[in-house]
Amino acid sequence: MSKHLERDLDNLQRDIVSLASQVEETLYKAIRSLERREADLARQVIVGDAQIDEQENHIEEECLKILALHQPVAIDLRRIATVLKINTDLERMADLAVDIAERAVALHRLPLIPIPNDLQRMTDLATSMVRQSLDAFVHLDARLARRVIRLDDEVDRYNREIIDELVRLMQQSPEMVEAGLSLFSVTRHVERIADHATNIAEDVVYLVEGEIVRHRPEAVEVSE
Amino acid sequence: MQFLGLSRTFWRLWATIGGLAAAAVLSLGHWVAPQTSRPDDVRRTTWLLTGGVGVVSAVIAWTSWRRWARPIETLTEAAAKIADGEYGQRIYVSAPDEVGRLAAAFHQMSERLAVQFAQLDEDRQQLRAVLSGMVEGVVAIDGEQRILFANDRAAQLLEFQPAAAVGRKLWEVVRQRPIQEIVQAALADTGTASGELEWNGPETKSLTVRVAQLAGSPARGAVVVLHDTTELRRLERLRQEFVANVSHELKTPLSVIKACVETLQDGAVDDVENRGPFLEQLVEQADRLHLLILDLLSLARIEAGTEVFEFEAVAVAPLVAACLERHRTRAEAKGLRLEAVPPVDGTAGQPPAGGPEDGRLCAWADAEAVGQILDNLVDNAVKYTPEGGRIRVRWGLDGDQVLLQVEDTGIGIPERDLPRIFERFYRVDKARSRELGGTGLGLSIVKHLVQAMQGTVRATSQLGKGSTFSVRLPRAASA
Repeated sequence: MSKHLERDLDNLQRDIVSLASQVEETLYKAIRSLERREADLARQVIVGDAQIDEQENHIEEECLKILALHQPVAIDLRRIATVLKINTDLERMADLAVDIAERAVALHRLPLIPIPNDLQRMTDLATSMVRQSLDAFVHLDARLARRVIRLDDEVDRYNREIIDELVRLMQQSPEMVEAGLSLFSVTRHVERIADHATNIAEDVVYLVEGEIVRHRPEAVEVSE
Repeated sequence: MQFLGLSRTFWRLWATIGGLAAAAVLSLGHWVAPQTSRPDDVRRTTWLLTGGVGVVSAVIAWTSWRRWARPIETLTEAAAKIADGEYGQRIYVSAPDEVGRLAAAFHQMSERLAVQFAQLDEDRQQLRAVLSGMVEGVVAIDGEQRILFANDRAAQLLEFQPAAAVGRKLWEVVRQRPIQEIVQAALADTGTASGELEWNGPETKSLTVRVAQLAGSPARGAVVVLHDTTELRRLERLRQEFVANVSHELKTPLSVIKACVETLQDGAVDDVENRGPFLEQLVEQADRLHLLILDLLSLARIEAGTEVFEFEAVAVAPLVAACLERHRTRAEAKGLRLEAVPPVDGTAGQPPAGGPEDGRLCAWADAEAVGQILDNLVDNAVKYTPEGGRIRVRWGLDGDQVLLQVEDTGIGIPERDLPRIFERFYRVDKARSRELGGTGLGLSIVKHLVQAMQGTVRATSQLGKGSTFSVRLPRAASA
């Protein structure tokens, strides 16, 4: 590997990890703003998204530049392909965090609605999936990545249960419909965030093993 | 390098000396034999001589090997062991000449190396022990942000595995933007940088980070020192909230009182028909102020440990009845049912019919304090239970403790907040709690009172279904 390629890849890794830390931060802030009903924190999240978008473009350009300049092969090529995909997933996650923050701002104005315990558990699980999938990427840990992929079923289960609970709540007290709908969207957003974490985990498996496990549940189970 | 138990050098020496001597004897024999009268005898003698020469040369070879080669072999072996890290090799070579001096010098070197390395090792262990015993987290990084060392506390604060982290880049191991920014600032040019940050993760914590560049140009790295300021920040927030809450609580009744007094001054005082409500308001708000100040004073007293309890056998049933009576008006106004559920088993007591002799279950406590505990719990239950709900107060015997339970069908407490509700001024929902007139002190007073009487208090809750507070107090012998 040429020295220039090595340096460029190192810088790329640094950029993507920095983007990841920004997105994680945004995510935690968005969820905190919802749980603690802090509208200011939510607005902070909404404003901060522009910087993340900028960073996404920057990383994409870097990837294309390395591809064109060094024409990497094997693991280097896989790495750049993975970074390109993770980049998109991270940016989408940040958008979802902004959506959650917007819901938090909306909920602030609406009558108080109890946040279901399950929703807190679900957000805990989703954020830990994001964290673990990025840990797997940084440490090239395919086992951890496979574990994250399997966690997604749990999030989907929470998603269904919370939606049932919210529907019941809205049927009982119609004045809660507006707030209930906001929480409903939050649930959907959290579920989507977990999906993106799963995507990242799948990309990590590809990066480490060169095997595509996306849309192939049987490939996830192997090599424990 | 041994053959038949003897060093190769010995075999080589013997082969050279013995070979040369034997060859000389043999060729001499061959040359002399034909010129003598008995050549066969000469030949036999030659063979015998050759054998003798072989034996003698073996002795010579062995002596010189012992004298010259063996000390060097011993030294070589010792040097190899030192190279492998086995310091303090003892070398015994008894030779008076150059080899002997070399061996002596080597021996000395080996011993000094052993002492110095042991010292170094001890220093390192000591340093490590000091660093790992620190309350602060310490991470050393090089100019590329590779982690050179991290103590256990740092690993705990930054949430990484210490063994796996060494040798990795800090920005990979700790994905926290604020820390990155501080470290980069320090590595760039300023030399030192520090800052405070809120951790982004499942756990909320505050960290103070100080980064100082290591000496050298260009910078060889930096030391990151982490300080956990979570508790400090929490206390600071509590203090701020306390001031805000108390001022808010004091201000509301005061402004009502002021408005009433002004209205009265403006002439309403002479209006006999209409002054009634204003005067009532005055009394009501003054009472509220009085209550708040009593709350604050009693909390301060209990916390300072100056509250004097009069321990006696306190019958539970009449206390519960009195407490429910105090809250009945308010509860009924909200359409709530207040129920007292006496213990069912005959050993603990009989269902109270109103007389004090029925409350046979007694706690060893201060009657006033138990009343205050019940008041606070029932008051909360009334506040947080929506219209048409039900509040039950049960009591009974639990082991050798008296159990008091206040159960409501209220809005419940989120799981996450349960461990914190006994904290001073902790409110699950700030806006709602104030709206309902809570001081944020009630449960805190309960906890302190219960603890002062060697009891325990626990809360369980189901969101949307209700909460149950269980107080356990020591039992007194039945009256």
